[in-house]
Amino acid sequence: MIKQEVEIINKLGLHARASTKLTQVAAQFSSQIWIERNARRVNAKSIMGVMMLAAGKGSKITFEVEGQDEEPAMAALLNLVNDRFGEGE
Amino acid sequence: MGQISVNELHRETRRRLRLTWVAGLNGGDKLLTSETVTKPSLALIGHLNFVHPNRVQVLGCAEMDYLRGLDASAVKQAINNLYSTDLAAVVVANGEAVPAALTKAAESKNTPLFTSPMRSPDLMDLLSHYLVQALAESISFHGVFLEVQGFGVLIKGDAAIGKSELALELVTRGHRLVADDIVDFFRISPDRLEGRCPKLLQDFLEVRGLGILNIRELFGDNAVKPTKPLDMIVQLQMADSNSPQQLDRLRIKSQSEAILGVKVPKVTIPVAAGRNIAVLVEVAVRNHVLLMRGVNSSKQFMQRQTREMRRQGKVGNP
Repeated sequence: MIKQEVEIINKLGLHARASTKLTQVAAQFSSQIWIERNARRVNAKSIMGVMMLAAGKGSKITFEVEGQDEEPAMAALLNLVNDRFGEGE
Repeated sequence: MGQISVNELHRETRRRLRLTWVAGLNGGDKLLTSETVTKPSLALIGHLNFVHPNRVQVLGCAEMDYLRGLDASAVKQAINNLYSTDLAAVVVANGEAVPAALTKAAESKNTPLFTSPMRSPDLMDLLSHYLVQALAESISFHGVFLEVQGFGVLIKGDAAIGKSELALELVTRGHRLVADDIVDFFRISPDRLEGRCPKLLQDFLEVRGLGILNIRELFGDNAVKPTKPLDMIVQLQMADSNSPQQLDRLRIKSQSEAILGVKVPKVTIPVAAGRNIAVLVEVAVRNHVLLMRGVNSSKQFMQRQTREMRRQGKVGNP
């Protein structure tokens, strides 16, 4: 299992479209993927859970990945967050 | 492009309009096409008007009075003018006596001439209604067309995905079958499509393993319906062919499909073991009704989430 904290840097935070993208990326991997914020832990493949985190700009979330493809999964997730979910701001 | 011959027009409307075919008996093959409907200067039916001739000419009181007021050569001239345009048929209303010149012209031009005892406004009303229905632009679709909770729902999807089975389940739940396999859609008004069942297929549903089923005999007259306006499309898709990352879970963008230029809302439902598609279709219809009333559940949830993020942002990010 690998764990990594990351800061949300895009302007709108984990809003609807960003959350959709995140669950879509997470669903490509067979690993179990969890996101933790403020002691709340949700499945990254569930859209309602991810949106419930209500992680705005500047908040920190922790990815927890466990499974056969945990390395590429973590890399893809971090890449997505640091790429501002492809939204450019 | 819809088209209909004068023979068909006569066959379908002669009882309602009490038509008598008095002359031009060989002209029954003349065609009325919906192409002529779109020509602005050529309305399909109307009173005699030498500026805007119509394909089906109705002669009422005023026109007959006018013709009677003319002398013989002028009558001949007027009737020649009338027949010089692209006429399909002439109807003399109010049971008026037909002038000999008119009968003669009808015979020589092979243009059907009818009489009817009905008043010309009523006659035109019924004729135009009938022609709009008969000449509506149409297109055929492969799928099952049902009435679900009062709404016309077209179920589409690849062969053997379970459309007919889904239709059967919906019928057992009290909804009604319009057509299985082939549905004809007619654009009866600029933004309304009507689905009709081809006559041959009416009441029948084919289910693999059970063969052809007569739904009317099995479930009663209430289980079928001959026509229904189209309200939405349900597209069935194999769950694995549309990979999970392709699916818009929040349905931020609403889907639609254009049929004959009419935009029809569309819902895509992935089919997989353990999913009760009939319930999903029923709820999709309910949600469609809700959307029409302006209630968008996805949007409500997104707004609530945005508010929550903003609230937390003000408190300060921990």
